[in-house]
Amino acid sequence: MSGGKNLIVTLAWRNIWRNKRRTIITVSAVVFAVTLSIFTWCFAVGEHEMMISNTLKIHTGNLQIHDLGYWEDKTIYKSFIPPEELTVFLEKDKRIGAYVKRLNVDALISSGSDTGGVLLIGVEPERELEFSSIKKKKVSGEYLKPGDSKGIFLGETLAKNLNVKVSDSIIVICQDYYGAISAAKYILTGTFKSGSPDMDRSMAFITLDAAQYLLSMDDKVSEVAIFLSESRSLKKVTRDINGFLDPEKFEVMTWDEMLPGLVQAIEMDNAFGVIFFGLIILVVIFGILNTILMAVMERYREFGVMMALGTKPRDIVKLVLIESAFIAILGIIIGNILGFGITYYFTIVPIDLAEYAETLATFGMDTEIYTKIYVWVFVITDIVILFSTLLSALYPAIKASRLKPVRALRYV
Amino acid sequence: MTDKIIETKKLTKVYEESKVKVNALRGIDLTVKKGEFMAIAGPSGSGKTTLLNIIGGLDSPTEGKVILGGKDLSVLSKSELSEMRLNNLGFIFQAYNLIPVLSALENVEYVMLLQGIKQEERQKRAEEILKEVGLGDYINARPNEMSGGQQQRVAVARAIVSNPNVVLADEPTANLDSTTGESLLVMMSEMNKKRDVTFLFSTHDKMVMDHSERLVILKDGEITEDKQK
Amino acid sequence: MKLAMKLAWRNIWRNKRRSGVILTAIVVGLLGMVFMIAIMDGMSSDMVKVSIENGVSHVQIHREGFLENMSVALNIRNPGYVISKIEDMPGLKTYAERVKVRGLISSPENSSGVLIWGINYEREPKLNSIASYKVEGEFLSGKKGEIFIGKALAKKLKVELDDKIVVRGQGLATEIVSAAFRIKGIYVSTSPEYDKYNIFINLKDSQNLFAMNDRVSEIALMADDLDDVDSLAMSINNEIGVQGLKAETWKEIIPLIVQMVEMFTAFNYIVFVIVVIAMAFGIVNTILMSVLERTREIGILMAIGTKPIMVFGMVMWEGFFLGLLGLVFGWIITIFFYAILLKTGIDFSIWADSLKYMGGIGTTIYPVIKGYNVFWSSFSVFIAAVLSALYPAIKIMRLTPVKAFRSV
Ligand SMILES: Nc1ncnc2c1ncn2[C@@H]1O[C@H](COP(=O)(O)OP(=O)(O)OP(=O)(O)O)[C@@H](O)[C@H]1O
Ligand SMILES: [Mg+2]
Repeated sequence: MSGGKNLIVTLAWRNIWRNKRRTIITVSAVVFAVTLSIFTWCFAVGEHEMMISNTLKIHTGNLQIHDLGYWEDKTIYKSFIPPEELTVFLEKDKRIGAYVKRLNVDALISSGSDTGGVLLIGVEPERELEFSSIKKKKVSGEYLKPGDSKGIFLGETLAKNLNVKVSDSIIVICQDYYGAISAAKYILTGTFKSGSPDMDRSMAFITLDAAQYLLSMDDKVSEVAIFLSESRSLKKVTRDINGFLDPEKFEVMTWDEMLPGLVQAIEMDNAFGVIFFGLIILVVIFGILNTILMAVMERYREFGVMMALGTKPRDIVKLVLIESAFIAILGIIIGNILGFGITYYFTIVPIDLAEYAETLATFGMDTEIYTKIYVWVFVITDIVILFSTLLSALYPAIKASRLKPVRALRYV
Repeated sequence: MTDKIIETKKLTKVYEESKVKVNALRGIDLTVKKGEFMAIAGPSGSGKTTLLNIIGGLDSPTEGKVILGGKDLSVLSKSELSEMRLNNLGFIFQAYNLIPVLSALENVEYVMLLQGIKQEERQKRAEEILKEVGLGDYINARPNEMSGGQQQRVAVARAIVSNPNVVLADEPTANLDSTTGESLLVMMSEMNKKRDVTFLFSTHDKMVMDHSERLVILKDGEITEDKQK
Repeated sequence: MKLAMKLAWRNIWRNKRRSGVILTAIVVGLLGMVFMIAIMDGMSSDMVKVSIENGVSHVQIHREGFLENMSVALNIRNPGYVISKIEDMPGLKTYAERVKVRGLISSPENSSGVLIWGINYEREPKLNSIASYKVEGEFLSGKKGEIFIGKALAKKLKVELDDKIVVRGQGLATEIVSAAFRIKGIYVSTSPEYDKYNIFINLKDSQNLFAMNDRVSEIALMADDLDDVDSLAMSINNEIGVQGLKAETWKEIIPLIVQMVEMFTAFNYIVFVIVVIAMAFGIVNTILMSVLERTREIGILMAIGTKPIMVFGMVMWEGFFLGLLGLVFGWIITIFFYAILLKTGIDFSIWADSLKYMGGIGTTIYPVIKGYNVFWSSFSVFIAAVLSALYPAIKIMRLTPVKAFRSV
């Protein structure tokens, strides 16, 4: 009986080549679904990772530490002096790529002829530059210099709104820590264009010292933003920091808590992707179901003979399933090769979406998109396709096995 | 001249599709006169079907030519051949002759439809001929609702209805029992007399050979006997 | 050709299960394709609609350059004259004049950068949904010192109804001016971002505060119909004849939304292509099989005088009918679901935060089946069916009767 299994496999393999054309078309359908899934999925995941890393690199960082309740209220009264143990940890831990202290306040900014509201941010320029891509986003002048207490660095749109150029002077007015109106004059060092219309319209950077002086806040800061060397360590680092910081006084927030819009945009995109992929699989699977059904029905007589000779219905089911598995596996193998090839090609040559530059920028995306190879995408695609093919073969297989030999023999 | 309806000149057919070359026909010279009722017999593989197919323009000879109603078939295009078959020939095959999705009446009408005959006349002629072959009650039946013999009668009706010069029948009785086969043959023989249509059969069937007026025997692609009765 | 059609039609019904399965595939494909695109289009038109109703309006008139930097200096000096010119224009439904100045709003607790709208409390609600977003207190009533702010901003400033807040900005005379306002009402629009940034005061108060006399920043207009917008803007530009004033349509005011809609549409066309290909595989195989199993029969058709071109036609008609039936069933089911979803909408509230990226549309999306969607999805299904028939049709047309008989 040792040859029994092999015989069914051999039979199945020969059967699928009885009608080469049909098998080739069916395999092509599988190849199409697999290739499409691998490519679009890798593309989407790569794009999402890029969105996240671009957004985090410009400003937010992987996680931030605030005075408890700051994120909710965004007020200067919820500020803090970074405790000793935090700075020691951040300096020493290897997983920390960089960390920066910032002081944020809403202020009025005026060039003399024009005025607007801004988010004024005090930063430590030398530290910001350790990770931030803001320097690359600069479109005129220079970034802030360390210790330059008179410099201010603005979003491009904001500078345009104020009608100012590099080295023009700018007045900032705000309420200080004690509720008094405080004003100071700065010189524009340069402008940036991050791509996010919101940032470019509303952000102004001065040095941390200048901000603390303007607001009479000594050493207090609004946030400590942390950039990790490897984004994978986010959970562990967060846990470690939570381990020694007093939760009654501080809040540790990861990027996804601070940017729910980004997270949900990605989730929504994924959901659309899953629905679309599901639709394609469904359509392809119905086609395959039909092909298998026909392949089975035209062999009713043959199944009748097999059963008359003593083949068990279970073996007939197995035979049909193995035939379908062969088709699926063939399609999957070719689809993986093709999918890999196409995806790999676009890891070298970017897809150019310059036409939609502004929309893409809102989502923190570049206009030239490179794909990336994700092995898990291949694995999940293969499993899903294999199982849905087998599922679609189940109906014809069971139909064939329920056949009564006498009727099958009469069937033409 | 009007006498000779079919003339084959040195017909040879060589099949080279598989590794072995098969000489299915080796120089067949055959002349059939209008109104003949003749059978071609011979052992299996002797070339009967091949000969009928070539005469009917379904297949082309390797060498030699077929002249049908004075026309050389070798000069006709595929669609001219269709046209020629439509107007000059009727076919009856061994089995599964009919279009399964059409009723008996529609199967008979089909050829006239291709000829562009008007609906009313089509219907009238089809009904008449179905009555003539004894199927007046089966006009609206589909092929799967009829017996093999009834289906063959419809095939005869269809072959004859377009008033062809020649009807080619490849083993028309092979799937029928002898009584049914004989009545089919008697019917065709009547048609032959009444309408002056030439019938050319291929057959293994002794009864068909008995009914025919001329018998040609083929062996290994050659004519070994040609008896007029 | 009639004959080929008749045979084709009957052939489709020969194997009902087979036709049924492939029709299901077509119906599912059509349904999915139409609704994916309808949802995208629903989002797009919501995006446009919400933006227009949240103050963008159909057309805005301002001094050239105002949109770039919203400077108080770029204003309309004599709005009364401009209004008299356009008031009776055909196609114009309603208008409202506004002052728009960027400034800072402060409470004792906090301050925030905002856009100050000075509005005509009577006319503005006719073209702006803002009054309908009210959740506490009242909308502006024209009395001095009233302000209408968003809930999110009130929270940030830690203020409540009737509290006093200070609005600060730059006046026309270039000095920083400020005034205190009492909170008359609080609103919640479709997007918290919007609520944080936009505050509303009476037109007169804003003109006094920023020393603008009777000047305004812009005049917003609604046309009778969204399709008339371009022609309305054009006739205004021809009519007003005031140096430096320009009417711009919503498309020029919110190019980002327009681009987003275009990107969605571009993706939609990709959906058409991909679904067509996916369907075609199944249809090719179905027709091919149904043709191949009839080889002998087709051989007989040819033997008794049917021309190859008619056999070709017959198979093509089979594809045609499959496509047609798929469309008929598909659209019946699609319309059925559409009727339901038009009433209930689709709940997207789990993605509420990301929808604000799309111009703050609501969380219930109503699918919109547009003309191009109907056309291209029907066309795609049709093309899939007919193109799929082409291969089997050519294949069988090349067949000779002799081969056909031997193949079985
Ligand atoms: N298409 C083909 N390809 C190759 N060989 C063929 C082909 N058609 C016929 N033959 C061969 O040609 C020879 C004649 O065949 P044909 O069908 O004409 O014989 P037949 O007399 O009709 O036999 P039967 O009585 O069995 O029907 C046979 O040896 C057959 O194998
Ligand atoms: Mg034969």
